[in-house]
Formats: sequence, C-alpha cells, structure tokens
Amino acid sequence: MLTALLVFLPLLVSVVVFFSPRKIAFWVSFGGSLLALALVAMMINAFDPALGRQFVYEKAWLPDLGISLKMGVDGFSLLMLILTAILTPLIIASSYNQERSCSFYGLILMMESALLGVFVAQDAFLYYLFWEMALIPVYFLVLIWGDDSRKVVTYKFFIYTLAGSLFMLAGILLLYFNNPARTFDIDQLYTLQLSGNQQSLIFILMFIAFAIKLPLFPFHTWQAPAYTVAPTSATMLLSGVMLKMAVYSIVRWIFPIIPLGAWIWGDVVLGMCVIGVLYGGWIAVRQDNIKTMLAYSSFSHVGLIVAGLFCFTEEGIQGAMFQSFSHGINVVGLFFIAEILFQRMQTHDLKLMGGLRVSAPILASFFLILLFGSVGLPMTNGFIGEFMLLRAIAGYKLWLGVLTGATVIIGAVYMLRAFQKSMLGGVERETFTLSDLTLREKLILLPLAGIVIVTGVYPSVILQITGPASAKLGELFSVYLNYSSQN
Amino acid sequence: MKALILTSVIGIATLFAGVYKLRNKSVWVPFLGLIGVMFTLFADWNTSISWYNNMVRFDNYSLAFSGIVITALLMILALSMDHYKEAGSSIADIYGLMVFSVVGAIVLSAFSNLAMLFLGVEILSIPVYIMAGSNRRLSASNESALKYFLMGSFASGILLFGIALVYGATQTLDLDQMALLGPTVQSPLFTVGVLLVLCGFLFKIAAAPFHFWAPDVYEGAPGLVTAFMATIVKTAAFAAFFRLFSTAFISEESAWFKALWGITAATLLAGNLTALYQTKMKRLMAYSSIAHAGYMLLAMLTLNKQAGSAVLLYAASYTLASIAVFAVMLLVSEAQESDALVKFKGLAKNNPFLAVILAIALFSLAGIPPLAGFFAKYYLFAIALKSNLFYIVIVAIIASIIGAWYYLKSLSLAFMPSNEGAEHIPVGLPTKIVLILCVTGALVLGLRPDLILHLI
Repeated sequence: MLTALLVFLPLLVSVVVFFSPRKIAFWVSFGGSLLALALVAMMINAFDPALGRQFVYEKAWLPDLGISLKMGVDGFSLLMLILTAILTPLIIASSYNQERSCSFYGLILMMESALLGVFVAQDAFLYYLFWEMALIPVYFLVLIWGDDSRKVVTYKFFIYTLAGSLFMLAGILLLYFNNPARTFDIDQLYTLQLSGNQQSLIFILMFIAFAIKLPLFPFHTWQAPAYTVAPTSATMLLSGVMLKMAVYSIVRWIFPIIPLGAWIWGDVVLGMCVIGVLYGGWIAVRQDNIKTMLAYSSFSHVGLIVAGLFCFTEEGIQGAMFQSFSHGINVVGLFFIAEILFQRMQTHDLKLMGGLRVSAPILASFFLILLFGSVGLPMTNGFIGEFMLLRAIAGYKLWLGVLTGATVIIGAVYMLRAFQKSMLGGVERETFTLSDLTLREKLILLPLAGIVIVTGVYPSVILQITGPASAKLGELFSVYLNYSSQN
Repeated sequence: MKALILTSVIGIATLFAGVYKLRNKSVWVPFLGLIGVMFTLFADWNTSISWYNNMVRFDNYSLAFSGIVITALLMILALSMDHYKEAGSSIADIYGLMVFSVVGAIVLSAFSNLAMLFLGVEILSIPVYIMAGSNRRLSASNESALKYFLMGSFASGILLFGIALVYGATQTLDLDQMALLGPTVQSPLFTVGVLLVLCGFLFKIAAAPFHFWAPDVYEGAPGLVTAFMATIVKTAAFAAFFRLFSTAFISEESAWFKALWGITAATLLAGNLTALYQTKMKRLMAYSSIAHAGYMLLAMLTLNKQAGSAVLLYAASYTLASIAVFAVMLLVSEAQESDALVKFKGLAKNNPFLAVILAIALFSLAGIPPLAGFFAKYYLFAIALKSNLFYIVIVAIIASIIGAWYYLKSLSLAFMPSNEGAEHIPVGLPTKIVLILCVTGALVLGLRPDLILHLI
C-alpha cells in the first residue's frame, strides 16, 4: 500500500497543482515532493535489505492479458527511490525565483510519479507504461521553457527515446509470448528458460532503449543538445534521475531475466562504454558552455557505470549502483551551480566568467565540493564509486581497467578547467558585481554537498541497501564467469 | 434490426425538419433520435438474430461497431451545432445525408449476405459523395466530390465484379454457406473474386496503393465531412472487411495473405512517410488516417477472435482522438481562415484548453501511454506477434516512430511560446462537451481497455 501511495501521490498532487493558482503552485508541489520524501523515509526505516522484495502491492488490472498492478521495493529500487525523492524537492526549489507557471511544477511532479513507478514496477507492462510516461513531462518542460533552438532538439530527443522504447516493447512482448503463463509478472519472467538465440534477440531489442536513454556511444547524439537547451530543472531531472532508469532497468529486467543475452553481448556493450568514456571526456574538455560540458561529462561517467555492470561481478554491480546514486547527486548539484551562474550572468559560457571566487566565495566552495565528488577525490562519493567500478573492470580485463582509468584523469582535466575558468583568475568583466549565494541556494546545495561527503566517508550507508541484491546477481553470473575462465 | 429501421426513419424525419425550415434547430432531430438508437443497441445486446433469410445478422460484433459509428455521429452532430450556427435551410439535408450514410454503416457491420454488403457500401458512400461537395461555392469541395465519386464508383464496380465471380464459383451469396463451401471450392474464379473484393475494400479504407484519392478528397471536403469520412466511413469499412474475410473468405487466406502483408507494410510506410511532409492539418490527418488503416490491417493478417476485438478497440480509440483533433482544427482554421500547421503556433498561450485537448488527442494517435491509442496499438502488435508476424510488427514499430514525429511536429508548434497565432477562440458548450468526452474516453480506454475488448 505504501508503494502504491508513493507512486500515485505525486501524480495526484500534480493534478492539484495544474489547477491551483500560480502563487501557491510552487508551495503545493514542493509540499507534495516532501511528502513523497517522507514516505520514502518511512520505507527506509522499515526496510530490511536481506529480505529481498518488500512493500509489495498487487492488484489485478487486466487479468486476461496478464497485466497487473504489481509493485514492490528491493535494494535496487529503494536506492533509486531515495535518489528520486531527495532530488525532486531540491529541483523544484531550485526554480523558485523563476516565476514558472503552475504547469511547470505539475509536470515535474508528474515526472516524479512516473520515475518512482519505473523503480517499483514488478510487472513488465506496468514498468513500460511508467517508462513511457516519464517522457511526456520532459517533452513539455523542454518544449515550453527551453532555449531558442529547442524545437529540433525536442523532436530529436523525443523520437530517439520513443524509438528505443518501442523496440523495448517488442522485447517485452517476446518475453510475454515465450512464457507459458502468459503474464508480465516479473516472478514468472524470472523462471523463464530461454535459449541463447532468444535471449540474444530480446537483449538487443531491450538494450537499444537503455543505450539511448543512458546514453551510450553511438546513441548519444541527442543528449548534449537536449541537456543544453532544456531548462535547467529539466536537465537535472534528465541527468540526475531519468538516466538512472536505464541503469536500474539493466539490473532489474535484463540481468535476472536474460542473463545469457547480456553475457553474449557483454563485450560489445563494454566496447560501447569504453568508447563513450573516452570520447565523452575528450569532448568535455573542449566545451566552453558549462551545460554542454556537464552533459558530456555525464555521458562519460555513465559509460563507466555501465561498464561496471557488464563485468558481471557483485563488486561491479555494487559500484555501478553506488556511482549511479553519487552521479545523480553530483550532477544535479553541478547543474544547479550552472543555473546560479546563469541567473547572475545570463550566460553559460565559461570564457565570459572568471574570478568569481572573489565575489562569491561560498558559491566557489560548494562548487569545489561537488566538483571533487565528480572528479572522484578520496573522501567524496565519487571516489568510492569510481574505485569500485575501476577495480571490477580491471578484474574483468586489466587493459580495459587501465583504459577507463583514464576517465579519472580526463574528468579532473575538464572539471578543474571549468572551475579555473569560472572561479579563479582575474575578473574579466567590468560589470562584475556578483552576489553570493542566497539562503535558498545554500539550503539546496547544503544537502547535496553533505551527501557527497557523508557517503564518501561512510559508503556503507548506501552499499548495505543494495548489497544483498547485488550479491544475488553476482552469484547468478558467477556460473558464467567460472565457465569462461575454465575455457 | 431495430437500430437499422429506426436510423432510417430518423434520416427521413431529418429531411422533414428541413422542409419545415427548422434551420439550425434541425440538428436535434437526428441527435435525439440517435440517442434513442443507442438505447436499442443496449436492449439488443447479447442477442444474435438474423433477419430476412439471413440477409443481416445483428450480433454483438455488429452492435458494438454500430455503437462506435453512432457515437461518432453524435459527436459530429454536436460539433456541428457550433460550426453551422449561421446555417441556411439546406443544413438539414446534410444532417439527413449523414444519418443515411450511417444506415449504410450499420448494414456493413451486420451483413451476412454479399448482396447486403454491396448495398451497405453504396448506402454508406453515396451520401458522402454529396456531402463532400456540400460547400458548393468552393471549387476544392467540388473537386473533392467529383474525385471521390469517380474513384468510389470505380471501386464499387470492382467490388461488384468480385462479388459476381465469387457467386459464380460458390453458387451462393450467403456468408455462412460460403464459409462452409469455401474449402471445397476448387474454382480459380473464387480466388480472383476474393482478390477483387479485397481491392474494393482497400480502396474504401484508403490503403496503399489505393490511397491517392484520400488526401485531395479530405482536404477539399468541409471539415466536419472530413471528420465523418475519416472516422465513420473508415470504421464501417473495417467492420465489413473483417466480418467478411474472417468468415466467408478465410479459406482463401493463402491467396490474399501475402498480398495483404505487402499492402499493410506499404500503407504503414506510405501513410506515415508522406504525412511527414504535410504543411496543412487536414492533409496531415488524411495521411494519418491512411497510416492508421495500416495498423488496423495488422488485425486482418491475424484473423482470430481477438483480432475482432483489436479492430474494435483501435477503431474506437482512433475515432475518439481524430474527432478531437478535427474539432480543434475546425476552431483554429475558422479563427485563422486556414488550416496550415503554422496557424497552430502559440495555441497554448491563448487557448490552453484547446492545446491540452490537442496534446492528449495527438499523443493518443501517436500511441503514447497511458492513452487509448497506445493500448490499441499494443494490442494489435501483441496479437500479430502471437501469430508469428514478427517482421510486419517491426515495420509497424518503425512506422509508429515516424508517426510520432509528425504528430509532435504539430504539437510542438502549438506549445512553443509564440506571439503569433489566434487570439482567444471562443468554444461553444457542445464542442466543449465533445472535446472533454473524447479526451476522457481516450484516458479511460487507455486504462481500462477491457471495457471494449470484452464486448465481442
């Protein structure tokens, strides 16, 4: 019941927000997202990682088509729920002074509902519905509040992701028809024994959707323009949470159901990831638009996360989940910094900034903390995640580990370059009277920076949530790994 | 049967409303009458009675399709209350023609004899020929009527020729006997006849390569008549198509399956790809209706019991969404004196209500969950995959992606902030009710498709 409430509450509030007067729309939506956070907190409190799926809510929906409203929360889900529930109120708060209309906030809450739905759905059809529903609010957010060149970008983004989703639908349907019980219930799908060819086909169909959403090389061309032209709140949702839908989906719908398919294509995926890691980092170094730079950095980081997953070890999966969480926190923080800079200077261009540290020292400190997290400095969350991922990859294939290890260096290059260009150096513009952070901005950045450090020092806070679930997947794949090491 | 007789009587009564110069009040005659017809459909539910030596048989299948057609006509009539406000006395003629055309649609959903099929097609089409040309002063409307008439009669001829050959081969016009005899008939006349009948149908539903008439006819005809053609004519033609090919002609499946496979793929791609390049809403909807015919043809390829439900659900969801789009288009094109896509710019700013309706309707047409259009498409894909039609489903998926592109193109124009575009457009109460009903229907059918799937 708690699960269903968590998913549908933001949706209900969003309907209220659509029809509420403009003045209170912000507060209603903020309140709604805080309520969702409170529900997630209740879940954390009652959650026992060792028990597997909990808070199950099951209700018949279209029984003769094998579709039911089945939701539940396990370690992977819970981590993503926490991420979504923490970020949404912060994202809403970050747009407080922009005088958005009520539909803006309504759409964000709708989005939250769809995202939470994706993370709890235990029925493939229901999962697909939420996955697609997450697309609609973003489409409108970008279309209505985006930059000038958004028209083409929104098409590209929408069509690209829709294309991926439809192939995934075909994959899900194949699972459905290969299943004697003719149901979308995940527990039935777990019991399927499909042949290698079938798994391989289903993997391709489903993975296209995830590769686009993440995005992986060569499906990434929608990402940088979309992140750049979207209003920053939408960019935060896209990079902070929406992208994690795909990471989560791989561990939820691909690994346990079609492990052989994943195994067959594992090396191809690893190749795509590694190219993305290097390529994304390399482009990020050359960007002067801070949002574009962050977009490519996100592209690069995600490559590393997925590469960790496709090492098929417990450590890799744990690292990927941890890093997904960290990346969500860091990237949202960094995009918020970009937004703060934009509001004060009306530009995203790093070349036009410089010397901000003098006039805005607190801003510079927060920037530095988030940047350290993103670069992976020890004692920050990024370090733990990258360390685990790189170790898993190096354990799988040493040279791959070395190659992807380069991200740490490239990441440091582009991040520190951004910091240097904006915060350090001489004051480049005469009109430069920049105010430091307001209380609201501090209140948003404080929790983010706090999480960066706390989870960096005590990673077990996060790791213990997903531990048993990752261990289970690791065990599943240990058979494959042993088999291949014998040959 | 009650529905058929009652609807015919209403048609005549509507013409009398014109004689007595009720002018724009004459719409109430067919409107209230058809609501009565809806009740008779409910009263006859779960009966299966055949009439006049099995000329027509009213079973749940025909009642359900009649229900959709009549609901669509009720909505179009409600829209016309606002649209034809200043109408002259001839307006009752249009209403009468619409009702007569729906009589044909009911016959098409219920026929069980090929003679009735032909009668139904003609009763359906002839009023539409006249309706298409009802805007006499506009040359495009005249062109539309002439084109539709010429092409339509040609197709009727082919259909009739096919029926004659089938009769020659099987010695019967009765569907049930034909279904029994079919497997034993050796004559190639039967095959040729079936293929000719198929061509006749493909013309009526505007499937590629028989679709070239549709865009011009749709564009030239007055807006509400276009809505009528896109929804009612298409639904009725599909009802008949499926009824015939899933029973009487099923034994010849091997002859027409491959042809229909290719035609389905061609229709899906031709409709969607051409729609991409349209700059006018009416033409876009014409190509979109061709594309949607392509999706419904998927059901023709599977021909099992679920396929009937799938066609019904698809027809219902397509009708609801299309009527909403046509209604918004009519309002915008009246205010802007053009239906060019660019005239939709800035719709969201001054007319948020219309923009939201348009968004939901177009999302439903594009097949985005949780709307009816999504589920209808999903269900079609599912039954096609179940019949191992893997490749055509992939074609259909690619077609839906292209489809989403042009629906979003029009939607993007409406939602992009812009200073161009219409001032506030006043929306009359009947139109408002229809729009809200369409959108609610699209949502409800998206969440509870079993309401329709369980009908037949």
